[in-house]
Amino acid sequence: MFFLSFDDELTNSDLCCVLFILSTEIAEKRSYGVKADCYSFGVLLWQLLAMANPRPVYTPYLVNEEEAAASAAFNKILSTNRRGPRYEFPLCACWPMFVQSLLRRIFQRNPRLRPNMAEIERKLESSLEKLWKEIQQDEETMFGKTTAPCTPETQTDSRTIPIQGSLNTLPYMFGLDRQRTFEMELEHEF
Amino acid sequence: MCAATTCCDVCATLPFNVRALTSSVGGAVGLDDQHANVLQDDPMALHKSSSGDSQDAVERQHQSSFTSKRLERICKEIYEKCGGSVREIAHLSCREVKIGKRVGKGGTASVYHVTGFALTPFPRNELHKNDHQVELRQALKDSSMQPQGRYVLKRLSKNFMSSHHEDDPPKEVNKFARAALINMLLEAQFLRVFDHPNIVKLTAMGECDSENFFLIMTYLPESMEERIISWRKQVKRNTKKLLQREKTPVLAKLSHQFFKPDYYKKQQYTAHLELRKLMYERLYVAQDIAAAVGYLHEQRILYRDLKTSNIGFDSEGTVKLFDFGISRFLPTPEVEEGEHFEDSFDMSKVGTKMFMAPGMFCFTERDIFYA
Repeated sequence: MFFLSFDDELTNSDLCCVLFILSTEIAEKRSYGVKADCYSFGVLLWQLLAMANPRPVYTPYLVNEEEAAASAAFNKILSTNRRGPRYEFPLCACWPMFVQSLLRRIFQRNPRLRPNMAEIERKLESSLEKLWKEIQQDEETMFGKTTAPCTPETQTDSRTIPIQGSLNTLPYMFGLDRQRTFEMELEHEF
Repeated sequence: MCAATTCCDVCATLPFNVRALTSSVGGAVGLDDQHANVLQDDPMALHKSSSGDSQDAVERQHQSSFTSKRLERICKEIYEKCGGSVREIAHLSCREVKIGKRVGKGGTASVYHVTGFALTPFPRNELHKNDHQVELRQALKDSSMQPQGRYVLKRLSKNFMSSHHEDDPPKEVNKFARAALINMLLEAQFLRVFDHPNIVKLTAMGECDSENFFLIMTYLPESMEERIISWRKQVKRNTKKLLQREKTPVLAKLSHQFFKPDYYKKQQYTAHLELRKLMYERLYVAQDIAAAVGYLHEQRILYRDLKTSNIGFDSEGTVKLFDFGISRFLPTPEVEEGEHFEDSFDMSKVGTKMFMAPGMFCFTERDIFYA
């Protein structure tokens, strides 16, 4: 049996975990096409965003009894409903919305419904441009033009920050509470 | 059936003698002297006579012919589809490369640092006397002198290849060695064809000995895993900064409020900005990878092994895909050109043939372990 996304144990890293994520059609020994690559790209994107490793989910060929028992128990929990997604990657609400929707589309069970690789690229490209503009605008409003050469005329009092909001509410403004809950969820799950 | 012309062409694209290489590995691949009638000849004749079990021999013969067919078909496909754009690359002999430490090791192949090139002034190989080759080899040597021009050498592991020499040849290993060799040949061919900023460049190749060969590629100093870990550290540091106020001592807080009223606020904003920039950076990397994989799909190639350990960053910081060991061509669509190409692209029929080649897919130790 072959694999799509498989990782050995890393020696000197925090991400020390065996990764065994197969796209659904390969795990079920159905025939597959380019959309299997899309799925593994989705896993990769998830890893980039969450900065964590997904835990092993599915072992089509089992080596010893312990593993078999463990995976059976695990699969029983995860896929009681056979039609539903086999394993849901938790998505953090603090990620940009377009990424969340993209990931939801990629992790679909039916490979035909998943977006094409070119489509993914286009989507990422267009929304990344927007994101970069937003970041630059925010930088300007917060700190004045840092990129412009500093002359006595352009130099403003950067100590005062135009954006309103008390310090206590800031984390909530930034969606940090969501990130925290997401991290807690991850620790709980993995 | 192997048409004589295509077989010659295939051989011509490879700068070394495939026949010698492949015939030494049990004669399995079967590109023989006349470049013709490969499949009708019995490549396993010698083995057959030695092993008494006829059924076994037939089985093996079947497997070998299957793999040779596959290799032939794929090589032909590569040549047909990208025949014009196959790059010529430098060809080196084994002694001309100085090998340093081992960087990484996979199931079948291992990767070493290249510390330098020592080109022989009077090459024995005829290929090396070719004018273009002389230029290429010299250019490679020059670039290796510069600080950014660092290379790695990839070759099949020695013990993996040589195990079939022993007096009781384990059949499996022999099969796997053959499959690994074929995979590496295909990888070399793929890499010579690809031209994309996010795919690693093959700069040279050559033979180690009669049954092993090596590829020389650009060195990728940072792996994706390391990068993810460093990102995670940065993100954690910044989130800490954002939540800093809760933990600062009261006196410091008061004094800061007196002297620099916006100190913490400003720090929090910078941290927030930093976090968003990190998010942007990560998504940008993802976009690059998507572009590379999309490029492969355009050429109707499945990468099949997309994971963090197959992605690295070069010295300039651009993302690169490497390890095309198990990427394959999709079978050609049977629809006419006028119909929807996009739709036929992901037809579920597409991959069925891939399941039928057991020898081709079981080639790493892991696979042996799990299969």
